[in-house]
Amino acid sequence: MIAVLRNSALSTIGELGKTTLFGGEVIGNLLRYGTPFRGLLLQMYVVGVRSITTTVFTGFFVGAIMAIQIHLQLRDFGAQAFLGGLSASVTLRNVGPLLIAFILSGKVGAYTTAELGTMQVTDQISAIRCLGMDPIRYLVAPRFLAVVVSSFLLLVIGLMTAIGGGALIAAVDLGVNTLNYVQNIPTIVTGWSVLTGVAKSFVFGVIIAAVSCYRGYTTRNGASGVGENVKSASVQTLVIIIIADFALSNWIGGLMDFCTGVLGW
Amino acid sequence: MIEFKKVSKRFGQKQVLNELSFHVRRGEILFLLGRSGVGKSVTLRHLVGLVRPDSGEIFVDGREISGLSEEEFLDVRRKCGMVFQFPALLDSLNVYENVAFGVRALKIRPPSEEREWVLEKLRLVHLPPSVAELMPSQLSFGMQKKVSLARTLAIHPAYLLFDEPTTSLDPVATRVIHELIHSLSRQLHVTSLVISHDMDGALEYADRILVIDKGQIVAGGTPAEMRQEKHPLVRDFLGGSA
Repeated sequence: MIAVLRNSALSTIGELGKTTLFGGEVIGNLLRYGTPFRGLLLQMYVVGVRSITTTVFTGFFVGAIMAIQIHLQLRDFGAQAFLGGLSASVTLRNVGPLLIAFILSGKVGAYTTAELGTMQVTDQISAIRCLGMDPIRYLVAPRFLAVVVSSFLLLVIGLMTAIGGGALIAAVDLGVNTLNYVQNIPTIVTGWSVLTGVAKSFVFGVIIAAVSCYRGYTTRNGASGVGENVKSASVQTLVIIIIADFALSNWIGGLMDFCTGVLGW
Repeated sequence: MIEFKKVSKRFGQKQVLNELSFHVRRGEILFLLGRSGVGKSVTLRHLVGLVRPDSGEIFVDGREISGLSEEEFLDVRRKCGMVFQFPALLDSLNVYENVAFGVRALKIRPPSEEREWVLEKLRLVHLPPSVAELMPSQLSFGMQKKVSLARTLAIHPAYLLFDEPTTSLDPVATRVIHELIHSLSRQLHVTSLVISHDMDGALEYADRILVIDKGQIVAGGTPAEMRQEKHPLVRDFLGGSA
């Protein structure tokens, strides 16, 4: 049992290392050669524009759920006036980026893994190499960048929709005045809250891009291999996002303490 | 000339190539036959750098290629055009863009001559210019194979490497592809190395046939010599073609 757990842990760490190296190689390639703007736009349309509806839908309900749950707690203390600030803060800092990233990993990440995986098992990637083009540069780099940029923009859109969703549900269902709700937001939501949300959105986008591209690019064993790698990519992305969320929460919290306590910002 | 000298390759526990040695002469059509999983495709992939040997040497026109870097391999890939088992066309590009892909990447022709060059390659594989604007998904499997061949011809290789070119094709399409391999090899004076398990096709179109088993060459000769070969595996293949 211990041996199985140890092997599993070692394998996970190994895969994480390979994914990181692969992501580094792609970023190095992007810095060295750039990527054709037309190809980038096409990929952003494929992975980004087509996910807007899902993101807006998810964001709206994430905000609505947060408003309802926090309202239940605040009501007991007669502190409903803080609903806007608390709800927006929790959504921006943690729940929003996390849940929306989960949805995007299932949609954008799975699509990218399946697409690159299919190209790998049908020898399209080998053909590109044989025709003198670097597949990382031609196929992976534009997809990687498109997934990072699209995921980041979608997460920001999702977070804004989540705040809107919270305000709407607070007004319609919870009887909280919208103006009061909105006016309360800046009392709790600070620049640090926004920075946390934005930083997490960017990092989660990079994670989705790195894992999905790596898993797709290293697919083997035909159609079953594609299915297996899409599944692995989804699980791996979720686990890494949760760990990254924990680390970022700690680091940004520490940075905030340092800046406010030591530097007096 | 292509030459394999004691090339070995192992994937995990499986020894795929075991000190494999053979050569392909300039201008000949060589069929490499064997059962599934004996290392035929792996052999071919060594020539374009998709697989690197664990030991041994591989020479293309006298140059040892097994230790070349990815960049150095570009020269070899210009010489050795690979036609994959599946057409491996890029789904997002139309036929013209697929055929032009390698021409642009390897700078085979200046942009002003590209269109004529691409359409000529389509004509060589008996495809009309009208297919150039079609997407791969709009073509039959046999036509996709022809486009794949045109794409390889477009990089003007000295060696054509075919990885089971007739897999999944009906007998008529199989004959068409075999005749194309034969006529193009003669017409363009290229050397063809064909991976196959089709003894009928080999006997009819090959200049020389080699049979591989357990990662080694177990028999070889001209079609006439192979008809008299006593090796049990060759007899099995001939039985299937009788």
